[in-house]
Amino acid sequence: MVISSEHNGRADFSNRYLDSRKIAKAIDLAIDEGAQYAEARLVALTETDIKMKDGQIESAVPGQQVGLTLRVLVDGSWGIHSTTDFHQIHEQVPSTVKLAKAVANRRASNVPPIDLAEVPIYQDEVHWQTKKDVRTTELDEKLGYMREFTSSVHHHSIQSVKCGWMDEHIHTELVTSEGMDRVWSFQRTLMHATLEGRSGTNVMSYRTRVGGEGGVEIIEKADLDALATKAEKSTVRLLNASSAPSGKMPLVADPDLTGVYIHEALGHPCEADLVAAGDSCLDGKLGQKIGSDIVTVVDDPTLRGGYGAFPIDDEGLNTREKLLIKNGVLTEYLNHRETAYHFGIEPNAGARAQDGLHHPMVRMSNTIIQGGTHKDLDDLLADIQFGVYACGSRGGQVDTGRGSFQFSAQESWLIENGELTTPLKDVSVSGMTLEILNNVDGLTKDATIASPGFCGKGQTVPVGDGGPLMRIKEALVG
Amino acid sequence: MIPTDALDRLLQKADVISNACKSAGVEQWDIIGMQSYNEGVEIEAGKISLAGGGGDGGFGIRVVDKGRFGFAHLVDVQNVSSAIELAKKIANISPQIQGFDLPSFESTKKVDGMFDKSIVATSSEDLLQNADDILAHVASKNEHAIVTGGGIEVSTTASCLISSSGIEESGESTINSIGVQLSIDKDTFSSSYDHQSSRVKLDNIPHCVDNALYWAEMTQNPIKHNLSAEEAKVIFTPSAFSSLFKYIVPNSVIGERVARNISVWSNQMGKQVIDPHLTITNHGRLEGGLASSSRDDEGVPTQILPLIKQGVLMNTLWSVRDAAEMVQEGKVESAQTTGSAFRSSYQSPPATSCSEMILETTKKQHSRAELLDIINTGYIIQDVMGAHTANPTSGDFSVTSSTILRVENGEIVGPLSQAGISGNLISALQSNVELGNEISVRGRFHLTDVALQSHIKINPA
Repeated sequence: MVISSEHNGRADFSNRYLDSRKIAKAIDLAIDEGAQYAEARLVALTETDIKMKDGQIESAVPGQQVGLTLRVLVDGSWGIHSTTDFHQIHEQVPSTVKLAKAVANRRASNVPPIDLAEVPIYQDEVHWQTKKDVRTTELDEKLGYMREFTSSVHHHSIQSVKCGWMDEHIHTELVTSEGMDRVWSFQRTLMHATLEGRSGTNVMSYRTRVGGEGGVEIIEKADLDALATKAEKSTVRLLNASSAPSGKMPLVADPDLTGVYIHEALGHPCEADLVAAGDSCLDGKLGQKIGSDIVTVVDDPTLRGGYGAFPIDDEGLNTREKLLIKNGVLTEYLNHRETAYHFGIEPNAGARAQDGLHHPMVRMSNTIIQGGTHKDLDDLLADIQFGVYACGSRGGQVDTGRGSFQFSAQESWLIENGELTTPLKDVSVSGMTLEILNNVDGLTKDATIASPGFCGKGQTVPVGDGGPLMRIKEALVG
Repeated sequence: MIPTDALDRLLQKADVISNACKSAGVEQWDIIGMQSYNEGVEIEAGKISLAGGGGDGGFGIRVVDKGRFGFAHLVDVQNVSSAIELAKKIANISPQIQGFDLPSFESTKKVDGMFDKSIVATSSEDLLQNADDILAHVASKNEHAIVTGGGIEVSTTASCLISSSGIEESGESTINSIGVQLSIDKDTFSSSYDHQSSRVKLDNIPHCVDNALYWAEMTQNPIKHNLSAEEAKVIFTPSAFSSLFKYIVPNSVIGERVARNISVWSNQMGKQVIDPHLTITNHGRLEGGLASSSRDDEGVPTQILPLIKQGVLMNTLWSVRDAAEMVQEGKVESAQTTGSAFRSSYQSPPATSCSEMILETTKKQHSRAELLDIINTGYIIQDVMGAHTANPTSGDFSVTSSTILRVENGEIVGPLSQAGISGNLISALQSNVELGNEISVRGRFHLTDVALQSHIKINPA
């Protein structure tokens, strides 16, 4: 085991929630009770959640949540205790160790015990700085941005503009029996809006988001008027849009939808906990060609500004870029220490927990398909006789075991003879991971992180997805 | 699992907060307190992967001053003064709504079936044994089946609501949840997920386990076909139907949305909006309901409210603030709360939502075999992917299923590997709807098999 010590940002361990002496005693107690590994991870979220409807505040909820999860590995099995009453955590140590022992006692002889891959040990603090701290920015300023967006919407068909604001300062402390003692913090800011329009009996909604890792400066530098105007135009267009054609056809996706596609179709099946559970279509495919030559995909939590960025994963590892696919070849799974040990591979800092009351799982961060060689949208459309251009995401879902996925666009256009023609509504795309990655036959040059999003896998975490404009030569459109 | 004095401790702390509100000169206030305790085991790759437990709790304070409201939440009551000041500060910049006052006390009866001592008495060992029993049961039914994910959880929550207008409600409730994701990797790979939740202890091997296994088995070996995209008759199982129903129908009966003209059922009050034999009821007092309670989260007694009776829109759902706001804005002449204010946790102010929602028919209800005869040729769908992408405003949806069976001449022919399913749920409910005869509780939704015979397009892969 490599031991190292680094200091980044504040060198002192001030402003801690955990009493170092008490928590060390709790960790020691776990080891004395028979644990091979023990950790206490505390997360304090200082947040603001604002809802505004048609320019009027619906609710503004500032608050703080503090949660702590004690995780012990005993005889190759996990026991966990999560609580908001973190001052009394030492009282829960014996029962949590006992729980893990009970799990271990039931493990079948043919099931290998859980163990953790070795990692560098750090005692340090890492604090990502922001230009405009969410904690010290006045509520009035945040309301001002929301009103600016709302006041940019004028069209008579728009019946309602709901605008929301979510910001959070995430402060994490991790103390482990291996000597890891890290404190890190960063911030996220998000503004989102839903426009609802009506024309006769036809009602449609359109949502838009702007945000990322960082403070209020993210919204300050956004062109909210342009964002609102685009959302307004899209809502009005959707009121008169046609239903989508059904069948297999070429599809061109904007960076928003490209991001969701790569998140659902590839990212989830790449999660090593699902692979280990036998619930991924990519099981046994490392080193194999699973996509076309132009497909290169990374998951990168170090991309500052992306909504899925974070400095240190929830097992205390420094984050780094993960190269999932290089030129169509599957090169790396996303993993955490348990799955890294299971597969005998290097840990790559893919552990994330929703908050202090949840345990870490293998999760994505900022997942991006790299740019290609096509010049622009016209270049991608040029040789399509009949297809669909789909933009903006309503979300997606995947069945990782079967390798089937689905994602939905906010608005789309028919492509006829290389031109965008009829606006379409409610376009969804589905397919099989191992087929459709081979069907990617066009990517424009510039890849960007698109709108911020959220990923659910029992726990919800913020993610950033993106890419360039992407062409799939044959997709099942519905 | 839950300390015997948990509720007393919660009430004591709530008293501290209420005294602080009085001392701070708050005109009107309500305090919600929750403290939950849970234990659970998770299953992964055919084995128990971890066992855990814990607790979470805190208080939400809503202050109302001359029709303006502010809200703040806290865990440690030592922070009560700053939380109240924060809530007051927010109230000062919030819009004033004439007629918005916190509700007065009205007596009501308790709803039964919210608490089960046997859930509280469930030990970690019991949960581990339960998980082992499920794993053994699946293995005994199909040697190729493996439970790849899921788990069992029991939880108990102590909660209280007290207000300046004399409302004092408190109690304990329980939930037992079981979910299984299982796969069969034999000739082909197939998988299925199902789950159940209940206020009372579930059976050791609840129906959802066998149902997930049934659908994983039924979707092995997809048929070869030359089917093309077309409008088709479809039977949605309660699992598939609830996925779409929950994103579209409750949203359409929120009174404020109807009043603002952003519901598909705006301007439709008193008119027929779905098939004339169908009735949708919002049941706030259903014994043992996951969304039942004697009072809503503003302290108003809940009720049994017919939303749609024999196809006709009769009522919509309101909370106190929504009702006052829409009257003030002139969107409606009058409106009053229907006891439909809910909070997702103590960290949220109340918002209007449905309780238990029940879909019924006055026509004959059918077995699944009879429904297959009725549609004759079409599909039966157990689960859909992407239901959350449905458009809650219009009712349009476009989703995907890998648990879809082809039906021809009233018989199941076999599974498709995948199909797209699109349409408009509101339109599809307007005619030729047939319901099954077995009610399944899916969260807060009480649904049967539903045969939809128009406005649904299937796009086989």
